[in-house]
Amino acid sequence: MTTAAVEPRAGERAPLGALSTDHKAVAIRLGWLCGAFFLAGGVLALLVRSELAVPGMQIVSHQGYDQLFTMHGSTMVYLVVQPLAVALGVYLVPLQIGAANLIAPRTALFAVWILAGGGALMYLGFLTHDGAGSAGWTAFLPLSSDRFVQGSGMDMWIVGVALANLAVIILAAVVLLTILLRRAPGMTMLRLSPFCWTQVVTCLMVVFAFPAVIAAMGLVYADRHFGAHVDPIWYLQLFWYYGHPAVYVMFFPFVGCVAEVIPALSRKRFFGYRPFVLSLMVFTTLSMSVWGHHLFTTGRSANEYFAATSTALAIVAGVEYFDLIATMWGGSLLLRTPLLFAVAFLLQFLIGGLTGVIVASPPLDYSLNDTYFVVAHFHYTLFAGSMFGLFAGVYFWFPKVTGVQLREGLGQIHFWLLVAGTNLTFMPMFVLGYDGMVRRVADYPSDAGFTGMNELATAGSGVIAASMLVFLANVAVSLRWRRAAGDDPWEGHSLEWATTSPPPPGNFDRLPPIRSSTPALDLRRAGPA
Amino acid sequence: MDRPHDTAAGFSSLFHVYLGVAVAVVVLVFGAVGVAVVRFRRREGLEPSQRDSAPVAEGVYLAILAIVALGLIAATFRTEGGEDGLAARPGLEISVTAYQWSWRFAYPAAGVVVDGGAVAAARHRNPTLVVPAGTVIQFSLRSRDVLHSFFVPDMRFKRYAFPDHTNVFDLEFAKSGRMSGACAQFCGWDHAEMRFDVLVLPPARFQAWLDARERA
Repeated sequence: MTTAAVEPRAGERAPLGALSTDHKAVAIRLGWLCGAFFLAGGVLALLVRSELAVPGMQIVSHQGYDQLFTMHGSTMVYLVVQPLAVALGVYLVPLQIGAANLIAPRTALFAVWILAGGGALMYLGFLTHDGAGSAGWTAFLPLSSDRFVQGSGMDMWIVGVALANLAVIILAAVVLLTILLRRAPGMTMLRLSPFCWTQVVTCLMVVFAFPAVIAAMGLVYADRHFGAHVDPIWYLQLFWYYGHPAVYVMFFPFVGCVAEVIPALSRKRFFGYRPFVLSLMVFTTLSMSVWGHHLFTTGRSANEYFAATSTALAIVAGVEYFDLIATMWGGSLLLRTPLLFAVAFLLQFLIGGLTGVIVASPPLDYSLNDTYFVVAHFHYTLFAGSMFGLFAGVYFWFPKVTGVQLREGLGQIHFWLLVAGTNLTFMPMFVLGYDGMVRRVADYPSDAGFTGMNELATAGSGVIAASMLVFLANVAVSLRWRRAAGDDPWEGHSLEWATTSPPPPGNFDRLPPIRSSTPALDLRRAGPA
Repeated sequence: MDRPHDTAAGFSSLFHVYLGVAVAVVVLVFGAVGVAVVRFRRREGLEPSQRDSAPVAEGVYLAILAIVALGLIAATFRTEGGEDGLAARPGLEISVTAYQWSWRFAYPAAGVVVDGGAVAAARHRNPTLVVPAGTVIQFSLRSRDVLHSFFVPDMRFKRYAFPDHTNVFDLEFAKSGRMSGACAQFCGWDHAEMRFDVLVLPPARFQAWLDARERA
């Protein structure tokens, strides 16, 4: 590996123009967009934590607080993690299957602008008289009707959420069709990389479940403007029919990142490829039949059925854990930032997953539902899990995308600060929820015994913010003072490591033979070309 | 179980089963990952294994997982069956109405009503739900406006209140004492203030309280 400054070759910069339809340019634009929304949603989270640090109202009103947590949740779900889940596929899928581009790159580009418009609309709500959407990210009826939440900011939120989800549906359909129809000769379905398989199941869930949330937004809009009176339980069922598969949409692509990082940095082939693929398919099938566990405390759901299907997910998730840990076992582990984030993903997501098994039991959920226990649970899956998986992927593929490595030292500072901040923020929330602190409250009584844990959580959120600043500094430093990474710095297994960094327009000057799910590894073992 | 509607007791025995399994899994996984990270750290002369599948081991592991999951589901079903059922002859009926942002508790047989008072944004005193200890109480829960959720943390129980549907459930408070209650479902601006107190009295004192309210 050389440390000389690398100059981008002619033609490499060109595809990054605003109207480029190269899938890499589309994905990078999507990445910047989601990154900007992530910062905005993070600032909202810091405001939420500041308000909750001590009892009493210090920085916002009750009304203002409702906007803060509504926009924090809907930003992170609709504008950050869902679109990032497919953005990873937009960048990596054509490279990993040996295609020159997406099957419908212009449609994908269109979806990026739909997402930008939807997100802008949601945020412009802050400028309206009654402020932005304030009915929670789920916008349950009848609270979200105009009898209870007035103002055009709420209407803009509804349209914005529908647009953001439409964008994700379009992107997922394009990625799925690309995998099905644009694989290079020799790339059979059972030679797809583990990451590509996670994209297959993610896109299936998006395409089958996400239209329900657009329909749900249509119902809220009809209730507000056309006098439709929607039965609240219908809305709950429809929303969670989308909402539970969505949880796994926000999980699998990041498992996919980890499933690429671990084999490469362990110098091992992925362990248990076929059981892994099968478990993904079973998981996806089950995921369409677990939404009722959000309705355990409504008294109007088939609790025992949904408890059984939800608990069964732990069996298939266990297969994924087995395969990932067995891949490390007996390997030669290079403990650099991508693998550190991958290991932290495994350990921290486990806490999110096991507490998920707990709330999948109705008699336990009768206590824990709608408390901070659930807030802690899903932040352990989404933040301590998916975000760590994402960072594993960012550190792993940054050299492929840019041609330069991120700094290892800054990366390790980022990693350890993020581990400390994440656990300091979200671990106390388990205690708060177990002790009965309800979620979505702007305030809590000073005699309830919640103050100490809330102070810890707020302190933790500051540590998370500091770690994100270190990450931004790392990106800036690495792009400004460039250290060439080479085409294959991690000894990767999948096809993207067999082309240049960054890959040229069209991705490959010459495709290596594809005889297994690890064509780049095969090429390296066959000796230098 | 002899007291199926003592949801606090039901929660605590079931939670410890789940917590035990969770702690065991955490120890196993953290241990395996920890050993892997230490033992297989990259160094000179360490040749990685080439093995990439172990169908028999994975199958046995899968069977163990399935048995544990079945055990958990069976424990859940046993607890839930008692809690969700309704007593044929409850000792008392109370109807609860939730609204933005307080509670109304009515004792229909005695014609007694406790109402937090509809106070929009101002602070108000929490209404008190008074109940007898050791009695199966049948609650009928409804909302007057948006969705709410009737939550008594110490009873480990909550239930949604719908505007167009009455939820009926039984609870049995084991011991006399004071508890706090809250609305658990986000219901608008003053959701955080929508609290109530619970006063559990010995049956004789409860009857005296009810008689006094009835005369008043």
